[in-house]
Amino acid sequence: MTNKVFSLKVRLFLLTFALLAAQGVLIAVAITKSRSILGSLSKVTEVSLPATKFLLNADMYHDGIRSSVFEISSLDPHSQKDKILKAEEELKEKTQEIASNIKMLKAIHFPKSIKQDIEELDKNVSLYVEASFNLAESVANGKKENQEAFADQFHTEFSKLEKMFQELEVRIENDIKSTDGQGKDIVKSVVIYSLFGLFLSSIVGLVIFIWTKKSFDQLLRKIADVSEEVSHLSIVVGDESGKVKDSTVEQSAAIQESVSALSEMSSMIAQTGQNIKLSLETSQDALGKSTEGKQIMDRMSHSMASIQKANDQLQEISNVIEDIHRKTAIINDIVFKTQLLSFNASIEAARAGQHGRGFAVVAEEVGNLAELSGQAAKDIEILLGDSQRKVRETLEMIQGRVSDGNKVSQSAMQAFNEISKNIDEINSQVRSINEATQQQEIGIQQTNLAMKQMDIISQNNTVASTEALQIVQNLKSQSTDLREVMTALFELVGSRPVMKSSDHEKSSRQESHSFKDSSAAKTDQHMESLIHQITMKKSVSAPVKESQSISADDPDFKRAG
Amino acid sequence: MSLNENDYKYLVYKIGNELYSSPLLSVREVLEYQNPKYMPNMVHHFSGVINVRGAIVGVLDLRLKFGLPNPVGPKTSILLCDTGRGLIAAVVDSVECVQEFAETDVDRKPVVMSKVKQEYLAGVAKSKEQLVTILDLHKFLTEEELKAA
Amino acid sequence: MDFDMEMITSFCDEALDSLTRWEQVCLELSQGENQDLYQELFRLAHNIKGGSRAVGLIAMGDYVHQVEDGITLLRDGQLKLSEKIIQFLLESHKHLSEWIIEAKTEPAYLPDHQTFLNEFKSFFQQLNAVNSGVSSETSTESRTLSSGVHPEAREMPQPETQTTAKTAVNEKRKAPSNETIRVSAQKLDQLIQVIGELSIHQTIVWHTRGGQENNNKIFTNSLQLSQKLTKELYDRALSLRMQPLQSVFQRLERNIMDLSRSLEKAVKVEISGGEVELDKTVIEKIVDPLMHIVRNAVDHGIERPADRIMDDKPEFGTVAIHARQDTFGVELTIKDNGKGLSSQNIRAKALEKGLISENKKLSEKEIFGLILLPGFSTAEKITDVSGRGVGMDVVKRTLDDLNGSIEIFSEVGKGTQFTVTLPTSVSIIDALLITLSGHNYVLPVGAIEEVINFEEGEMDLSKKMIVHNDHVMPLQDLESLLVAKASRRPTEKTQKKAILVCKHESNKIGFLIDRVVGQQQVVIRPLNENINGSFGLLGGTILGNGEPGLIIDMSALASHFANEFRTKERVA
Repeated sequence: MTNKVFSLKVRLFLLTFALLAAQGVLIAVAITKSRSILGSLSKVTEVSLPATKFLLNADMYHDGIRSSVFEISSLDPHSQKDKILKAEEELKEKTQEIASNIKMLKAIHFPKSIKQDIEELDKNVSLYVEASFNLAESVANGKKENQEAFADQFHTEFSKLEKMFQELEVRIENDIKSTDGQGKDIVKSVVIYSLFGLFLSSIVGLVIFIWTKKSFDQLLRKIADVSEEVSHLSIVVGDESGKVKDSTVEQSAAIQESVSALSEMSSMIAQTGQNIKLSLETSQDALGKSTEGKQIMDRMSHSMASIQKANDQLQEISNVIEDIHRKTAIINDIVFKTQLLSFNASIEAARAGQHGRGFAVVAEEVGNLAELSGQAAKDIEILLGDSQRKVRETLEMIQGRVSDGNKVSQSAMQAFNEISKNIDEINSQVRSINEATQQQEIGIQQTNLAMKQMDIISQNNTVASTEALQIVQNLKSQSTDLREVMTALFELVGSRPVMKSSDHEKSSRQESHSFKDSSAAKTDQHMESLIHQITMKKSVSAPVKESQSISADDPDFKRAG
Repeated sequence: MSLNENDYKYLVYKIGNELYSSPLLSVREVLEYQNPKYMPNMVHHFSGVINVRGAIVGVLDLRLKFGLPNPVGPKTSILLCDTGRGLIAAVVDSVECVQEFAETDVDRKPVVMSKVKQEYLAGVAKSKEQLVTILDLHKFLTEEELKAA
Repeated sequence: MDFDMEMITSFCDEALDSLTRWEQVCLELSQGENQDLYQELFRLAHNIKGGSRAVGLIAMGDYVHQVEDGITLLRDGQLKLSEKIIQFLLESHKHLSEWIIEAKTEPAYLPDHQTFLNEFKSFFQQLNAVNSGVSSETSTESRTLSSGVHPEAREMPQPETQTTAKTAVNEKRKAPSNETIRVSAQKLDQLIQVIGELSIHQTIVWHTRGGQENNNKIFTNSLQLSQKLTKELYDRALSLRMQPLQSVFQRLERNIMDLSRSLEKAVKVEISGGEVELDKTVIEKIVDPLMHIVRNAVDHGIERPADRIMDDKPEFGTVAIHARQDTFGVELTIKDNGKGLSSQNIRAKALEKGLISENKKLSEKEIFGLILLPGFSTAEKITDVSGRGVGMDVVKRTLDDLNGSIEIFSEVGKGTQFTVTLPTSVSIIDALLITLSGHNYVLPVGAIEEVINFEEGEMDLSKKMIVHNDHVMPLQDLESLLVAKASRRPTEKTQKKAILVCKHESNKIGFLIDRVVGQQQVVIRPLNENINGSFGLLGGTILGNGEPGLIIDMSALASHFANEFRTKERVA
């Protein structure tokens, strides 16, 4: 479409511009016309009025000159010389006046014809003035022969001028009259121009209007199409809500899944219960065994106590022996040192010779004593051997006891081994319980996951359906608005072809109405019910979860009880 | 008793299971055993040096000299001798007693099988039905080269 | 005769002191006349005279009286000092010294001094007569006299001096209790002070013995102080044995003067460092070697004045004796500006005597060291002064015994210098405790240049040479050098973790040891004859824990190693 290039704005702009142009033309015409009127008016004031005045003045002085000439001629040229002079003076003044007026008249802008007349007039005036002067002089001079000629000349000149003045007066009057007629013409032409302008602009406006309206019609038709499409869309939305229904189905499937997970969980928990029962039995067993072990241990500790006692005795004895040994070691050491001393004393005594004699005896004595001590030490050694033997006996006895104790402790060990085995069993069972519980946990986690998924889906659904509803409602209100706008537009544009389109619109409206009545309304209802359902389900899903967990726990508790 | 009386006194000591003796006056002192410090470049039976009241004294182990084992027991003793060349000490298994041997009991020129060279043998004395070899300790300790070749 | 021995001993000690001063004054007089010196000499003579008479040595008193008369003449200017008179005064000093030493043990001893005295008398009388008569005759007279007296005077006392010196030494060895040492009062005061302090701490230790906890600190403190004091006490006690070298130097100077006179050589003696102290035993032992060195210097070193002038040298030869104390001991230098030693001559001589092999390379120092070998004498003919058996080898041996050393440096035409290094004390050294295969040894710190400690694997011990601080030096396992394989008795398997760097001559040698255990001062105890002379051992000591320790003779080991090393190198 070429029209596409010209937007509405452009079109309106063009229209306005055209109208303004036409108006401008009209105004220009009017102004020029009024100018010409003003010009003719000024002609009247500037030309006609002074011309008339000067002409009248000239006419008047022309008459004055005749009168003066008459006075002169009337007077005696000799006796009344003074009077003649005075009249001549007067004549001169009057000729001057007439010349100036003619001159003034000459200065006024006249059409050429008038100007020629004035030129002629001027010539005639100067002739007249000459004639008057000739007459006046002849009078004054008294030349009577000439007087007549001159008077004739003067009279002809006078009548000629009189006629010219009258003609000129008529002509000037005519000129003024023609100016008036010119103004009338101008007013007439202005009226004609305005009428023409109006006509031209209305034609341009009409053309542009028709052009614009055509586009509008096209647009409106398109809007109508769009609204039709909108209606169609709301039907599509209805379909979408159908999909929402599908998601609800999905939701129910998820719930199904969670229910199955929960049932699995419950079965696992049942297994746990069984395991716990088993472990209980095992621990009972272990208890029995441990009691047995305890009894054995009691026996053993009894034996051990006796061993301890024997050991203590032995320790004491060995301590004593050690003491004795230590003491004998010291004694031996002392004996050894004493012996060394006695040897050294002997040596010193020998070195001292005679002087050391007494000392040698002492040394000898000391040596003897040392030997005695050594003997005593040896005796002690024997005793020590005895004690050692006794200790050995005791040791043997204790060894017997110890073997007894060993047997006891072995049986105790056996019992304890069994206990430990049982405990191992318990442990493994507990481990399986643990595993089951772990699985249980996983199940619960899965359930939670499913529930969460469900939650999200249902939330999404609610949001989606609410949004859809809102969209549909918006759509609805918007299409109504559209329709209103369209109507307004049609009204605004309002023409026959437009009315024709309104008919089409009416039919479409009826169509949309019918859609609203049937599908849209249906969709709305469907939507609302769906939303209701969803919210209902959402509120229901939580209690379902609870009831499920309770139902899952229940049997176990019952079993445990 | 005369001055000579001391000449008959002998210090009896044991090396291995055999009894030996030396004139009492040839021994300066009997010492408790103390571990000698190693001294290099000496003969095998030279045990080392000990500190005797600030003096450094070389120690010979007579048991090693006689090719016997040299355990250290509570009775192991050291005989300190003051030779013309200074102090020197000898390790013996034990010191038994100071005993007088009448000259009549001593065979000055014995013919015995002994580990000791004839020249160091001062005789063999009879005591309580035991034979005691008399060693000339000074000769024995000083005349042999102690430095290892 | 009845003599109070104690009195006589104390007189003798005093008189010997006076005589030492006497000698000194005489030597100073030879440098120039001085009224003060006459006065002092007179006083010394007077004291000896009075003292000898007081203890009953009348003959001695008479003798000194006559000498005193002579001194009076000198002092009063009635007699003009001449070389002869100084000679005479020194002779009488020698004579008196011998007399007094003898009198110390045998107061009744009377020397055959009558002839000497008579001569002396006549000498003085003649001098007197001449002095009062013609002075020119005096000189001729004295010259004739001197030529008459001199040989006797020299001949007679000289062997005697030696014998008496020897007997004196012998006596000391036999009966050391007779030996006396003059000690300065200051040293005694210090000693007494230290002992006083020590006794205080001893008392504290006694009172706090077995005390309570709080006493422990006082106890320990006191014990520590006691230890310190004991050490100081030991040092002070040692210092009692220290004597200035002045007396030795005096004897040397005197000897030089005598000798130069008899050899008609002009010699000046320069002495410094006489105040340096050395252990009395060291001083006693060092006198003979030093004497030998200075005699050599005068006999062989210093040329005759005519020769010297010909060689454009000052007429008077100089023998400079100088002592200097340093950280490790005392360094004595004896330097002459004589003709010096020719290393070529020494080398040739050593070759001739078979002391060295033809192709043996030796440094200057080593060549000069050859004259220290037994049986080496460079003197062309045997004079009565040197070359009489006591050779340089004896000097060397004596110094070795003292743990000292000698170095010779000489330049032909310029002179010879002997540098003798001696330990301050023979009995106490700073020692390093080391272990070799688990056995502890001690070695003198002075012998070690440096200890290099290293960790396992840090050094390649298989190498024969190592580089340390840009020095290449041979590396030697100390134990395998010191201990013959047959006698080795390792107590434990050990790791070598240290190297001792020793200087031998101008070379460094690294000795590989297990490790250094510590450092302490030890008192050297000689090893008795039974066990002495073992290779590489200097002596023994008792360590802090009461155990005996053996001191390694590092310098001996180093030189042994160096010789072996050279031989090996040559073979290689």
